[in-house]
Amino acid sequence: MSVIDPQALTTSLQRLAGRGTADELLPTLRAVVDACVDLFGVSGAGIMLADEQNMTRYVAASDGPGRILEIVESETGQGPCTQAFVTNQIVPSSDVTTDSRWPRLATLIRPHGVRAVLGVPIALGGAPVGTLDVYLTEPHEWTSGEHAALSRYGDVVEAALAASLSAHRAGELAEQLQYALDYRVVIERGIGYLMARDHLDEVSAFNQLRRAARNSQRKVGDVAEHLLATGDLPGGQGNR
Amino acid sequence: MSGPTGDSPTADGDEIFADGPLIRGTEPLLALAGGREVLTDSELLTRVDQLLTAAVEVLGVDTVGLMLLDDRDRLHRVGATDEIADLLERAQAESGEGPGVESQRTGAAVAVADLSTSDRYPLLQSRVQGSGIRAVLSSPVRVDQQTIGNLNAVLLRAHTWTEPQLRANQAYADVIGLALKTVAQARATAGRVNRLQRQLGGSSRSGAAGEQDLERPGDDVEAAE
Repeated sequence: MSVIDPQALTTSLQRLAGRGTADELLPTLRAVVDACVDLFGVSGAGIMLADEQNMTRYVAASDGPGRILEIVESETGQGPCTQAFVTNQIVPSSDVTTDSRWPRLATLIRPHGVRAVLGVPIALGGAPVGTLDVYLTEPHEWTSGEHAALSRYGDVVEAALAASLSAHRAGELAEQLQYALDYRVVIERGIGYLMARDHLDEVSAFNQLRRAARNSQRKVGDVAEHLLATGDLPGGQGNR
Repeated sequence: MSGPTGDSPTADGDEIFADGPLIRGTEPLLALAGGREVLTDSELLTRVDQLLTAAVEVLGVDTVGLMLLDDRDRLHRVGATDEIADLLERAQAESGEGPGVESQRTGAAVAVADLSTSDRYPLLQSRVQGSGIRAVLSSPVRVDQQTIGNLNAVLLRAHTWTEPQLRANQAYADVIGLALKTVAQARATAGRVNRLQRQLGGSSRSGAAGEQDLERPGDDVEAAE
């Protein structure tokens, strides 16, 4: 366990905090991938993340062949990176072009110079979310030392990813709350208008506004403005 | 399948972020992160601990320390993986001398093969004598092209740092810099979120409007239909 000075850390973070609100999610993914190459002397590295169907998809890579490896894996649904995600274990291949476990991958990847590949599962909050992948342009028997070091680096990727997701989420929330604050008066007037016009209680009136917002794919504040300007919710009469 | 989709491969990664999968790929992640919007202080310490601890194994060194500028631009020790690195950082901060201090000044990495026989930092040396610290590599931690601190890798034996090691240590310091910047933003934004929630709390209806908008679809509105 490290010795960390919480106060020192906090004051240092405060010093950094005023530096704008640019979303760091994509730069973070890219930076950890680029750093991986220098850290381990591999030919290339990449990250795959699971989509809503829990299939891992290419997200970032340090170079073209690394990107192709991940795209081919996600399209064929096979390979060491895919297997690492599914089994939640490190999966090495000393040469994917001759590896009999994944024949389709072998055929498709052969022209691209990717030979040895190692897939490392990445988790967030205990749940697997994707993989960190490294490759070499020559066949290579991955050693247990390399497994360990890359697994450790997987922890680093998780920490960096978690931090950028927190920042992203906080930024989204702040925007939504700011919007609600800016449109507070308009929304209240819209609710009041619907209550009077349609003889609704406050909750029902608000729900009607929200429903209209969802149906018209607009924000609640926009819908309230529209209502107050035209007397109607967007998309027609009443919307009961 | 006819072959990999999308553009022809390039060495640069710029077209990466235009790909559809990235946007879809981050949604489950955001859902996972959505459970807690704010990085609590204990989580923050855990993250930094993770980053430092992992450095030892990833960089293949004996111990690691981190110094950062505080809000008055003074270099202070922030973390270390054990008491030895902690001693190094405190000694650098107190003596105003050392590879980390020098790296802060020059913005470049400083490699010391054997601190015990070097005459570069006499004040520092006297403070860490007998600690076992021999080789030290200090890499600047940069955020937005500014040096905001340094990562100090330590070996308990004399060693001439190699070019690949310099590159690897710098790469790690860069990751730390980005992680710190992101964490700083998350905290600052969390503060803003708290302020906004308090402001909205003054009006119950719009407060509800603000918060209910944040829920995922498929909630009470559909049930009410």
